Amino acid sequence: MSSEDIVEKPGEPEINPNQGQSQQWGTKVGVILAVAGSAVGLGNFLRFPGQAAANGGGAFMVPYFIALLLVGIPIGWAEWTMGRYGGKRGFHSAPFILGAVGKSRVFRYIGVLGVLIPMAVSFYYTYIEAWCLDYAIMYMTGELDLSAAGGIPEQTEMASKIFSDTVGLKTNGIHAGGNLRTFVLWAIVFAINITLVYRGISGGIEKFCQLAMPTMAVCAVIVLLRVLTLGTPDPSFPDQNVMGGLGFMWNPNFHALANPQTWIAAAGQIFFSLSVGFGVIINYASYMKKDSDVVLSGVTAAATNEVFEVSFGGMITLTSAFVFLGATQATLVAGSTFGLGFNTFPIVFAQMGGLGKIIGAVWFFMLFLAAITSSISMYQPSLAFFEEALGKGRAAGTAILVVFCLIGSFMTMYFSKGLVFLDTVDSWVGTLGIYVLAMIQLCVFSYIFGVNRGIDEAHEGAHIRIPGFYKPVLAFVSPAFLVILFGVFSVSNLPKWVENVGNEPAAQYAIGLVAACIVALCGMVYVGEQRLERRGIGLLGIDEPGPSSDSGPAGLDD
Amino acid sequence: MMKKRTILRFFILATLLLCSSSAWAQGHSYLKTAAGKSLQAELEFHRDPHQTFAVRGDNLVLAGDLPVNVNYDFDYSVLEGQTLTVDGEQQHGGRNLVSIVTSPGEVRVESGTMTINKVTKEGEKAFLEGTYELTLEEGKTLSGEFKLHTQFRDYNLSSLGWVFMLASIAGVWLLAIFCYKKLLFDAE
Repeated sequence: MSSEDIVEKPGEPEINPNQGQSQQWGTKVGVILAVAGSAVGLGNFLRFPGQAAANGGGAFMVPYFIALLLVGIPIGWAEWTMGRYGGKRGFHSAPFILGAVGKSRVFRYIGVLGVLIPMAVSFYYTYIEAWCLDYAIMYMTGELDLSAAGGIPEQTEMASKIFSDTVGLKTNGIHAGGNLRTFVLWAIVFAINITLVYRGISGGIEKFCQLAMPTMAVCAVIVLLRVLTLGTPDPSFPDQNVMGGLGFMWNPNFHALANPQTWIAAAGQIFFSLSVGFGVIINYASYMKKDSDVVLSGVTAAATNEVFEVSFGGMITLTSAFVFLGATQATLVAGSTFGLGFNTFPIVFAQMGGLGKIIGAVWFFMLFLAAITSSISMYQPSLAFFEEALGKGRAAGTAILVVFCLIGSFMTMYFSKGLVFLDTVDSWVGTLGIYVLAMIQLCVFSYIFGVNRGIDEAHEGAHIRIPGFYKPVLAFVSPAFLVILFGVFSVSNLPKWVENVGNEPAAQYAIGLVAACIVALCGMVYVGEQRLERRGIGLLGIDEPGPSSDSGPAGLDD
Repeated sequence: MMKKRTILRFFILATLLLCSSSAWAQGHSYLKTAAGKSLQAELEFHRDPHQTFAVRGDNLVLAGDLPVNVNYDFDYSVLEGQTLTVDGEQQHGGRNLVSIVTSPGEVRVESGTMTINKVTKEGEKAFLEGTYELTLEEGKTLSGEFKLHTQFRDYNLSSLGWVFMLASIAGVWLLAIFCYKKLLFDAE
């Protein structure tokens, strides 16, 4: 069947599975910057350095790069390929793409995860984005100045209080804890996000990322230059200098390589950093042209993310924390993303003197850009799904998206005490869900679609070829890596999470919200199936390949 | 077959060596009671932001402030002849440490002193030798001598640190440059 064969029935809107068919990336670099923008987030600057310093310093880079080659890049290729394949068949959302690739209705329902994850993460991510903007504004207006607070202990206390007030850490409620201002900023940030997404792939997301990514790089370079020229700010602590800070981050401890935890941490960092298993790449890639390259694009997006993570995140964050606060404090804060970003860095900037305010503003503006390029990528998959499932057009899809996000974000902001609600959604959806979706996607690609066929599909229009050794990697190594990672992760975290849900009402509300979203999304998949069926669009979408090319056995023998 | 056996033997030997060297290092860092009982422990220094010390082992925790600042990069010879005061409780490395001795039974340490007579340096390790006197709860006392091992915290970027840092950064930049060049200029 081809798209021309489809006949529109009276009273029904457009015939394509969705209106997104008319949407496409404007340039080759556009999609790469958008995917890289989605991947580059707070974790690149705040999580990676802590993971590296705690797991062998420079030696951490050995398992890190191995994980990049064996997990990150191949899973990325699988997602790019499946996304473009789905796009060719008129699908743009994970449920319908996975249904087409997996050739089963079951995968449409499992694919709901590819909508749930980015949407649920956006509930709290936009809120964090508002914190970044709030801090940037506070630095620009001179409102945030810890230098008057006295010594480091007093500054630490003040920084904690500002953070607590900003996020409403102590009490629940929008007005409680002084976080009304954060709520207003969230509303602004949310409106910006929705506007960008509504403007479309090329007119909104691509244009914004083309502007935001270079701006983010310029901001990172400014902060990096300042950090590298700090010297030894306090002569009474001669060992707290830039070289010491870099040594703290990069001196290798080879004993760490014998510890399995180091390898798990490295694979986990790569996995979360590249936004694989998130439902974003598969959606973004579906808007590529039929003959667009996905192999080189996948590597380029990953490389862009790595430039931000390794050369900026690895040089700025812990180095400056070490120089001003010493090894002990740097070690303590290294494991805490929020602690490092919002409690420690204001103290670091206060120690920099007058220039600290400017650097602080640049730093938090950069984090804001990193966050917003990620958050727009979280809204787009849901919007594509609502359009595809309901067929009511972009405006209606956006309205449904706004309703979902208002409920989710409002609950996140209301139940701000101890950030229990946020942490619960992050743990169950933003962490566990990603593992599950990545495993499912990889299995669908490698065992149902077939590795050979998948690589052939990836090679269509490719500027570089996937090396031959990636066939066994995609079939065995990457899935095994993911299963081990998932197993270790589950054993060490799930009992604690389950206990937390049992004890904390806010955590129960979070789980309830996630469950309600799953039910609603599955319902929409059903509605979408009925709608597509009425139009004669099957599981494989438009332009279904003939039996000879589609019914071959999956797997390596394909 | 022969090769496998050789590898296995080598592996067992290396493991034994590693275990014995670790045991040796632990055995040479201790507090000895007047009765001759040896309590294994290690000495740590932290900047919190004032400098503190902690002696920690399976059977004891002793913590307090340092009387003089030490430079982690250089040596601890400045401590020679100094007396460290042991406190009942101490903030150390962000944790609240309670000084206790648990052999036999858990007994809190109310106060005490540790006098450092000699500091020696061996590679990246330092050994501090001296005598101690502790006042425990319920008026008990514990005294003896110690030889404690600690490590220099030399955070300066080492040669290998340089190599890993530059190689990692150059690696990701070269990969990105290669990709963008190929994508923008080489591709049709």
